[in-house]
Amino acid sequence: MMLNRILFLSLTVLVTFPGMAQTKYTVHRKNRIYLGITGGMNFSAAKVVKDYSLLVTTPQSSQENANSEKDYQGLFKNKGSQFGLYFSYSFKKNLAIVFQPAYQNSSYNYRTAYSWSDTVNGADFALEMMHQQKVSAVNLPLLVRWDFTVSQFSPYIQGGIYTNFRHQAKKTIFYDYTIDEEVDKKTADRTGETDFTEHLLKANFGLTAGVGFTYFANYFAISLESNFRYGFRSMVNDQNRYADFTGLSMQYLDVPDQLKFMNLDIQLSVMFPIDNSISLGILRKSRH
Amino acid sequence: MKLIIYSMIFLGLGIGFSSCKKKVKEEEIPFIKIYDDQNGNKHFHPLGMTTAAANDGYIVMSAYDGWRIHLMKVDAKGEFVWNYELPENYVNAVPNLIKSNGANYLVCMDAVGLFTYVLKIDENNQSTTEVAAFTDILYPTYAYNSGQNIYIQNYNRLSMQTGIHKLTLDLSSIVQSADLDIFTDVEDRIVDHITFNGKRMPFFVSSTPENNYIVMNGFYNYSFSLIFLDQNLNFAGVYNGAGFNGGLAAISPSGGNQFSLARFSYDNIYYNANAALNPTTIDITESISAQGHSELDAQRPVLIKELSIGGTSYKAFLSSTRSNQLLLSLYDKSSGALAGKKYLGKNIPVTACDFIQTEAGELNILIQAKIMGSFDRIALMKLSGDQLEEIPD
Repeated sequence: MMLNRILFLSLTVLVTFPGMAQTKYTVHRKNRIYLGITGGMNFSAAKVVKDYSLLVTTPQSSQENANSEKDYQGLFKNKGSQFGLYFSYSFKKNLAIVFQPAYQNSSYNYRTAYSWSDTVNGADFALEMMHQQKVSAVNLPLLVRWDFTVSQFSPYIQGGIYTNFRHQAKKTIFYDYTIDEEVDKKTADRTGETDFTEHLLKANFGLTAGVGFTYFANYFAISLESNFRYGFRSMVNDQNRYADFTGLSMQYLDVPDQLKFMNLDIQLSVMFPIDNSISLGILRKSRH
Repeated sequence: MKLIIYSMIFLGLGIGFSSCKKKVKEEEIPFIKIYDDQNGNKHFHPLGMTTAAANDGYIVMSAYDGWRIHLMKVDAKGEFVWNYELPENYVNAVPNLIKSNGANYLVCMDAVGLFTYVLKIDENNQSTTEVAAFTDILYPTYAYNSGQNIYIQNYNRLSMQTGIHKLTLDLSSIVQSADLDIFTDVEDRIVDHITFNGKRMPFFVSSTPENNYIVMNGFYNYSFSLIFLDQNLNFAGVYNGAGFNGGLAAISPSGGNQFSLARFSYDNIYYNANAALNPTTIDITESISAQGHSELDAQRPVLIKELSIGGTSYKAFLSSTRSNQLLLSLYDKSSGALAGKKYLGKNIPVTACDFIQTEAGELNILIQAKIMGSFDRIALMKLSGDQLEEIPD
C-alpha cells in the first residue's frame, strides 16, 4: 500500500513538473552515463505449458477430481516488488542502452479442489486449496531505450533481452473445506511456508519491453516506467517435479505444472549523470 | 562502455547457462501417481504388478472392499489406461500375477464355494476370461511360476492341510499335488488374511535357481513354517515358525543353499541377505541368524528381489517403517553386506506392496497410499536409474 502511494505521488510530481518549469531546456545526453537506483512493484502470471497431477483421474473420480487442472490467478492478483540499480549510456541524443540489475520478488497463485463421497449423507469430504508460490530472483535486463524528445520531460520506449537467476522460492498452501472457487487467505487454514527453490530451474531468459517517461533536472533525472517480461524457458525442473522438496506434494496432492513466466513491473528510477568534466550540468537553454 | 560490454557478456553467460542443461526424456523422469476413486468408503489394497502382455505398460491387481478384485492398466509413465472391477463371485486374488506364454493370469476364489479360479487377463477387452475352476482347491493363498511349472498353494479347511499343486503352463489342469498337515484349524486366520481384517500372512512359494527344491511359506505342524519340497513335491525339510507369531516374511533364493530372507517374530523384523539354509533339516526360524530392524512394521509386507544397478547385482529389501515410510535396502548379492538404503515417501502413510525393475533400469514401486488421512488408494512410485545409482555408498 505504501509502495502504491509513493508511486502515485511520484507520478503526480512527474506530470506536474513540466508545467511548473519557467524556462525551456533541452537535455544534453549524448555520450553521457547515468547511474541510479530503481524500485517498484510487479505483477506476475504463469502460462501453463503442460499440466501435471499427482492424483490420476479414473472413470470413478468425482467431477471435482476429474477437472484436475489448476485454476491460475490472473496477472493483477499476483503482486511482488523489486529494487535494483540503473545504468545507462546514451550513444546518441535520444538513443541509449540501459542495464537494470534488480532483485525481484514475484508470486503466482493457483487453486485446486478435491472431493470424495461417503455412503453416509453429509459425510462427504472436500478440500479446496490456494497454492501461493513466492519466487525471488536476480533480473539482468539489457535494453535499448528510444526517447521521443530531448526535452526535460521525455517519454520513451525500450526493449531488449533479460536473463534471471533464481535465488529462492517459497510455497504456502491455504485451504478450507468448502468448494466455492474461493479460499480466503485471512480465514483459511494454512501450511507453514516451505522451501520450493529446488523445484525451479536456476536460470531463465526472455524478452522485455516497456514504456515510461523521465524528467531531467540539472543534476539528476527521475523516471517512471513499466516493463513487460516474458521468459522463453520453462521454469519448473522436470526431473524434480515429484521430488516433494516442500513435503506438501503427497499430503495435498500437488505437483507443479510446467510453466512459462511473465511479469509486468511499474517502477520508479532516480538517476544521476556521471561525467568527468567540471560541470555536471546537463541542461542547455533551448534556442526556440 | 565497458559496463555495457560486461553486461552483455554476463547476459550471454546467463542465457547459455539456462539453456545447456541435459535434456531428459519424459519417460525417464521419476514420478508418484495416486489413482483416484471418489468413493470414500472404498479401500484399496494393492497386491501385485506385472508388465502388460504387449509390454506397453503395467497391470496392477488390487483388493478392495475386503476381498473384491480390481485390475488396472497404466502406461509406462504411470498414466491411467483402464480399470476393471471383477464380478462379485470372483474374490480373494492371491497376491501375485502369473505371466505364462505371454499372457497374464490371476488366481482367485469363488465367493461362495471357496474354490479356486484361474482367470486370464484380456487386455483388449479390458476384462478377464475364466481358464479353469479347481473345485478341490479351497482357499488359494499363493501362485508362482518357476519358469518350468506353475504352483498354487492353498488351505484345505476340511482336512486342515496346506496344499501345493503343480499346474500345466496354460494353467488349465493340475499335474501333481501334495498336502501338509497343520493339525489345527487355522480358518479364522485365513479369513482374516483374505478379508484384510487382521494380519496378512506372508504366504509364498519359490524355487531354488537349480530347481531342486520348492521353497514354501505356509501353515504346517501347528506353526507358520518355511517348508522345503523336492521336485516331486515330497517333503524335504522345514524351519518351523514361533507358532503363528513368527516365521519367514520373505525369501529370495540366491543359489546353492544361500538365501536372502526376512523373518518376523511377533512385532519385529529381521534381515539376512546371505543366509545358509539346509533344505533337509528340521529346525526353527528363530535359529536363523539375522539382523533386527526395529524401525520396520512387522504387520506389513516385506519384499525381496534382485536388482541390477550400474551393472552390479544387489538383493533389494523393500519394507514399510513404523513411521509410514518405505525403506529400500540394498545388499551386495555375494557378500550379503548392506550397500545402502533409501527412505521413500513422507507426510502420508505409504505401504510397500510390490516392485518391478524396468528394462531401462528404473524401479517401479507399487504402494498403498492413504490420502487425506482417510482414503487407501493405489499408487505407483518410480525411481530413476540415477536415483538408484545414488543408493549404494
